[in-house]
Amino acid sequence: MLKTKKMQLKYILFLALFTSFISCDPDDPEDVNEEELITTVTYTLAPTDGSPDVVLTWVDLDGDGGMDATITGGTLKSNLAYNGSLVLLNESETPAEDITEEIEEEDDEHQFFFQVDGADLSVAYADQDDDGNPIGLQSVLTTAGPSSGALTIILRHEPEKGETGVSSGDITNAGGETDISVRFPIEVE
Amino acid sequence: MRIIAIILLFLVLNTAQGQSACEIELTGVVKDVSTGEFLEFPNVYIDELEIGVTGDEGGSFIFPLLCPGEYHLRVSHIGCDSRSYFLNISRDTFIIFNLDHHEHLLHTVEVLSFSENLGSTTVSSTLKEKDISLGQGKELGGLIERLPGVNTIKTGANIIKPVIHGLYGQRIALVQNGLNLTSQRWGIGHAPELSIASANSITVVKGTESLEYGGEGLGGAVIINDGPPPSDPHLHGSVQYAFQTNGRGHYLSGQLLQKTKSFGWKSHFGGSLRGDNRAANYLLTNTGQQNLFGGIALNKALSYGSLNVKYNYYHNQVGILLGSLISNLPDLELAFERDEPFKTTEDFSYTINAPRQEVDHHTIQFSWRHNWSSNWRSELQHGFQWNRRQEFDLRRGGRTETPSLKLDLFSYQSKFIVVHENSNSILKLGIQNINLINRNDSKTGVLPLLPDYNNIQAGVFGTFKKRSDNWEWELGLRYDYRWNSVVKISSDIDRSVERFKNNFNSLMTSIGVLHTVNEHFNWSLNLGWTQRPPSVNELYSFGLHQGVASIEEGEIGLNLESGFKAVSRFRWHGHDHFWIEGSAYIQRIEDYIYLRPTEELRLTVRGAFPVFRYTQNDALLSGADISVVIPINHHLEWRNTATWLYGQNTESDEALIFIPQSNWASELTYQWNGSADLSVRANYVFEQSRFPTEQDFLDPPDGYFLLGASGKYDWRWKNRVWTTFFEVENALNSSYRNYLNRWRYFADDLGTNVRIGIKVEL
Repeated sequence: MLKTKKMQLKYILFLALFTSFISCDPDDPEDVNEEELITTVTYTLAPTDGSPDVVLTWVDLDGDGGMDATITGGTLKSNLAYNGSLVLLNESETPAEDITEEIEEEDDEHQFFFQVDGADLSVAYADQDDDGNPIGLQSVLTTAGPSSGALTIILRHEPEKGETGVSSGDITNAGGETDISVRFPIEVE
Repeated sequence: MRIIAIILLFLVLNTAQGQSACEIELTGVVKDVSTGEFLEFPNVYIDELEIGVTGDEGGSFIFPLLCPGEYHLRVSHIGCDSRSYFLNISRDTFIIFNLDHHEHLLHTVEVLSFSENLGSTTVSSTLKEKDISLGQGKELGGLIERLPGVNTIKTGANIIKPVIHGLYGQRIALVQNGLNLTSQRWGIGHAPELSIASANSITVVKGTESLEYGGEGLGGAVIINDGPPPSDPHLHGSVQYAFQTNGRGHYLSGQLLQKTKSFGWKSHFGGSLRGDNRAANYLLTNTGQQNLFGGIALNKALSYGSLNVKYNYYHNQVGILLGSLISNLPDLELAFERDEPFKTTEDFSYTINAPRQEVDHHTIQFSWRHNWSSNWRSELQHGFQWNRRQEFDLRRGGRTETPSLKLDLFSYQSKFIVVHENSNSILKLGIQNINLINRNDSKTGVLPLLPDYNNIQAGVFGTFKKRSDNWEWELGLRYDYRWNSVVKISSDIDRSVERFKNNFNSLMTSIGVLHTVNEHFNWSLNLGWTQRPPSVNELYSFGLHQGVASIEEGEIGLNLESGFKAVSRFRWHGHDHFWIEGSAYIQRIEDYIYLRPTEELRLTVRGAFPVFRYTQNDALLSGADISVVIPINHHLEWRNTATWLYGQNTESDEALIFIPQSNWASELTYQWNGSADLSVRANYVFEQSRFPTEQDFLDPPDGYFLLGASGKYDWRWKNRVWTTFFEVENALNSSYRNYLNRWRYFADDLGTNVRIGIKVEL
């Protein structure tokens, strides 16, 4: 008899555990510091004839969110060489973080690729990592005759720089992960 | 000295009353538990005496002159798993052994250690214990995909999710020892977080009987149970080692069990180490896997029931193929065009680099069973689980060692069931409660794909089974309440905190009938209606799936999805072990939730990505599977299975995406006296000709043919049973791709693999 009572007591104890152990809402999440985000790509083209710089910009402050990017293309002079330099920023933080520095530190793991369609121009690398392979932060853009089209700049993380064609700027065999891929409208006058 | 004397005296008295020493007769019969037939010429072996006998045609055997004492008996029969029994014999004894013949074809008899007397109207398949034992080191999905009606959806070779009758993920309940596995199972690239090392049976339920496990069971359930608690007072166990050529993988596991005077205990532990896998023509770089698991179970018999406490740990680390690391659509197109994936090298390595996944899963379980009377009993269960998932990507600035996704999921669940049982009916009533707490680590530096949430699921259910003459009836009803409280960081520029709350009420019903026409033939029909509330990822997920070049967005306005399913099964077996079993089903799902590409192509800094959003449409799934076992002679058996599936979005009148291909498998097995067997297996997977063109990046690959073989040999050495086994997969080293493997965009499936292993029982 006593044993049954004890059993029943145990039962009640177990059932007591049965109630939900959460009834409240989750706390506010902590801010995520999206330090790797690239919001802004700036390609500054300094003409070798001393005229003012042409600045191409691509800005998307909300990352993968639904807001459209703001893209500023440029007009270039025909048959002229430009010294190009790329700057990547994370402007979602204040002050803005300079992503270019990270790429300089890991330059053997990064390479930019320049793809032209329509416009009559070509881009050559003007910098090297410690292994003698191109990076692309510094480049020389040379225009030919008047034309219009677009320039796509791609940054690959961990490409295989030694594969066929990669060091001369052909992306086909590069592999790796795309960190940026932005397209600027270009006019060559 | 005195104690020994008393024991001696007792023995003398005992034998004087019974028989004189060493004249005890042990007789018995061996029956097939599924058909009730006696099994002809069974083998019975006594470990201690190292003697064995073969029974007669009627399954009877006799050991005429045994001494009193404790014996371990091993009973085996061609086509059955051999079983060990512990007996304490003091007088003439008659014993009936039940073996499971064709266990894999059987519909399950019981689910949660309930009655074995009654059949079931639902269709399910149980894996043979031998297959589990010899399949150790394989993933759960890889083990059950040979069952009729079961397919798998894979990400490479190591991440395998089960697909039952065309449904997967959150529509399949995974239940281990009565507990629903609570983990991040929403992702196609997230494998089930459990090891099968301690499993004694794995049952796939394809009907709606799974209502005991809630709305997750819309598509069925995989039920994994450990064996019965230890009953042998001696320390027993087993150790198993296997090596596989593909990935140069090693697997080691062990199990120990004993029933002491006051309680029984059982422990398992093990792990595996695999390096880069190999496709037919190249190495798959960074596809290694490291796995570690262990657990302990304690069982205490009470005067009217039993108490069980279990702890299980599972750790898994998987590398993701480097060549699958593409980003946007142009990258994906480049990857398609290649003969071999990017970053393919011929340097084999065990190292797992980023991208990789790491999962830790802890389970603590407590259950108490009490028999109140000969008819009434109850079972109470509590379970705590902690699942941690970390995903590491290639990152800049030394952040590769910081996970880009780190989720902790804590869960508590409890279940209380009352059962009333007599010789021809079972009534089961229960309540179940599951609480989930999901938290992101904010230090990942990446906006979380899945938000933080708290979730409560509470359900009540009842099932009733009744047998009269040759008819069995089954009824089930369940009601669930689900509450979600979600907190999310918005994806707009403000990154503000958004809160969402919602709740859902859902119902499940099931009715079934099983008719035994005669001793050779029976059929069943089960009808079920199941509702499933949308899950948190379907409602609120947001982010980029890099492996598949798409942005995935949840849809806040989703409703319940409701499925009506009819499953019918028939089985015919002859006296000579000829079996034929077939099942067919049709399932209509209203508001079926799936990821559908939108018109939007979103421009991000990494390029343009198609946006996929969770959408609801009415869908129809249908299919059939058939298994035939033809005994050619006493030693040779020919086994065939075929599966056919059909999936249609009835609203937009197009095929459903990711419906498994129809397939056919045939296996010829030769057996020697139950101690050795050899099988040759052929498998053809048809091309999926029905697919929605604009919802996928690439058309389904061609059909393919695979050849394999397996075998085992049991032998005795130093008074122990040693089992050696081997298995050859893709023997012809065919290069092929499977429609349901997410890596088919980038690489071929696995080339030839040979597994060899040895197991010894202690």
